[in-house]
Amino acid sequence: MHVVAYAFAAVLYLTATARFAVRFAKARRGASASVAIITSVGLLSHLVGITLYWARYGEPPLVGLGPSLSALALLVALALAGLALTSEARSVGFLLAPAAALLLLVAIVVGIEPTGSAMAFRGSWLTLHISLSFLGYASWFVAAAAALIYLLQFHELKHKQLGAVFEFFPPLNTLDRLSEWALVTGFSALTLGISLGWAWTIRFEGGFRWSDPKVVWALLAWTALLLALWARFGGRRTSRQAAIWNVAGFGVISLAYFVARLIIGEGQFFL
Amino acid sequence: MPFAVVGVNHRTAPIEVRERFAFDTTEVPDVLAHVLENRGVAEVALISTCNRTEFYLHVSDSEMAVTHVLKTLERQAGELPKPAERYLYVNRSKDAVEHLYRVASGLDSMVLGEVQIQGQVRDAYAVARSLTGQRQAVRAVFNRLFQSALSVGGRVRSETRLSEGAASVPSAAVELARKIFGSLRGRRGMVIGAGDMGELTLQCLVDEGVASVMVASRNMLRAQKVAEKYGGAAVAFSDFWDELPKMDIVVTSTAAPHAMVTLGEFRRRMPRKLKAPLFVIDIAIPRDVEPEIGELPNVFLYSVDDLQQIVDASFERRQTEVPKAEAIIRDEVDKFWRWYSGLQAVPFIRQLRGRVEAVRQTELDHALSKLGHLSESDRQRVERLTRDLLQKVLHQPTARMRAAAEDGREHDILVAARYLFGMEEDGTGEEEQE
Repeated sequence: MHVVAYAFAAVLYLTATARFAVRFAKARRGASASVAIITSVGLLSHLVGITLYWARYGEPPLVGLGPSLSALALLVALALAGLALTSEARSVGFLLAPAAALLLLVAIVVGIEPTGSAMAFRGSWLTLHISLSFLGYASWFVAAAAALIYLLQFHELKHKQLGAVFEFFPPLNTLDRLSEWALVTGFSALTLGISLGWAWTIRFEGGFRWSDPKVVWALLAWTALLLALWARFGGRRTSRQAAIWNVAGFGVISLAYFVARLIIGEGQFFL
Repeated sequence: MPFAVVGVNHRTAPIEVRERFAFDTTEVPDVLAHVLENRGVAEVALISTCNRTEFYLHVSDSEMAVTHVLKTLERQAGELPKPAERYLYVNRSKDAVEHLYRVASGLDSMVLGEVQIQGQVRDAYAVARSLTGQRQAVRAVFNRLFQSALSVGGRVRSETRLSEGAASVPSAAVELARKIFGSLRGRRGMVIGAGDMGELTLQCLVDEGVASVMVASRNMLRAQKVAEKYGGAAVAFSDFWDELPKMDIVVTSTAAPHAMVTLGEFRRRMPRKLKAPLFVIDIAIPRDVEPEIGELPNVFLYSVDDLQQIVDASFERRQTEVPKAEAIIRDEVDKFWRWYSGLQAVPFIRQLRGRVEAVRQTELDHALSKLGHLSESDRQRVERLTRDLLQKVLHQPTARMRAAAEDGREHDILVAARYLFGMEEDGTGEEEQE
């Protein structure tokens, strides 16, 4: 039953994507308010799916590829719905809506079911650790999306080629503030998430397992996020340079994830 | 022909003629009252802006009313280069309604799709509505007409892109500034060379919330005058470089024969790397700012040609929206006209209901006088029964009469109805419409 709710949510995220795409293709000013309703209903359906999953399996959908992706999609959709409620930054959802849809569709295809493997690391420690880490990644994605649009908008304004990007997307300042806010949120959440994981391993396992690829990847992601933050707040870098660091960092870490998954395989990864 | 519009606008007369026809806001109530003195006029409103002076009339005698308004306008204009009728136009009936809808939508504006006209129509309606008693200028028909005109204006703007994009060089500058900074509230701006265009751009920026304004000009008196007007400060021309690093937006419009803001000086005086964006609007010819400055990080430099290109592109886009806007207007004119035609049946329906009610009352009184044994509640029940019965019997024919009138078949239907109910001798004066 939970899969039906997830599928309905995915359809609505796809509908929102189409609405964004049509407005963008027509070079209309900003996204229409209807996406706020569509994404809110999608989010509601997504939450119903998660509740049903939780009720059925007795645990939140945080472990295993399918459940993890569905949870990550929820956080992206949450940001999408939040932005859709603002008229100022609604059109940033142009990148968030397809991401939420894609994550959820992949989750549905691989199966949103518990792994069934017995894990030592369970309970509220695990829930908080994973939730905060996912919040970190989702926020970073929002920051990178806003930064990417910032770079496109900057390019159009600088080179006086005022097309669909100029018309559809928000002002530079709005994108910059959104990116900054999401970056700070992402870094704070990921730091807390990793710290919880670290504290647990030190307390119960005596130390970090440095050979664990997900630990290495998480620390790499945290370092890249720290660098993106430093590019924004440290030194005399412009917002454009900070945006480049942000997008590049997110791109490299995402690429590293896919490469690592291909080489190492599913067993060692939470996502 | 129940409606007429009489007036002059930017298409029919140059500015020096238009301003002769214009009425001051304070004069409008008296002018409306004067027009209403003519017994051919039932309702009147006046739109008087820099681009148009138009009287909208709901008339019982079109010729009498229009002649009266033409004379009023001629008297207002006085001596003109050509006879007044060469500048004036008269639209009647459905065309007058369509004209008002086009005006409210910005289709008839000098700058296609401009939005200020919507507010000007609203103000004209409000002034006309403020007249009461003997001088009542707006009644049911004009209430409906002007409210629908405002709603049509809103519909055109929301359903088409007629009002999107910059319509002038200063508004293009403001649009760009908003795309860089978002809200301009609290931003700092400087105008170098306080020419007319520079001042106009400054005014647009101040209207958008630019708070701290500096004016640098070789003519210090002029700089002080402009700065004072916009709540800013004047600065000596030689000192503008000292202020430049503090600015978000700079407008240059000097008459200098060479660039005032050179790359070398910019590099020397400004921070090596600008952390915040600097928007430079160079509307001078020849240019005040060396174009290489636009290549520096975080500097957005737009010349008057760049801005004009934006305006041209926006105008082209607006033009493509005209057919869509016209379709909306045609649709709304038809709706209004159906409603207005439906009113033709109202006087007859009122008379019919009055007559039937009189019959009911007489027959009820007669019956009740013979039914003295009925209790008070029973008498009320009988009365309610007769009323409900007639309501139900009359509902269908009156609804159909209205519908027929809305479809333009009021004449045949009303003649037949008068014959059937024996009411041929009863007139249906237009004055009963309200």
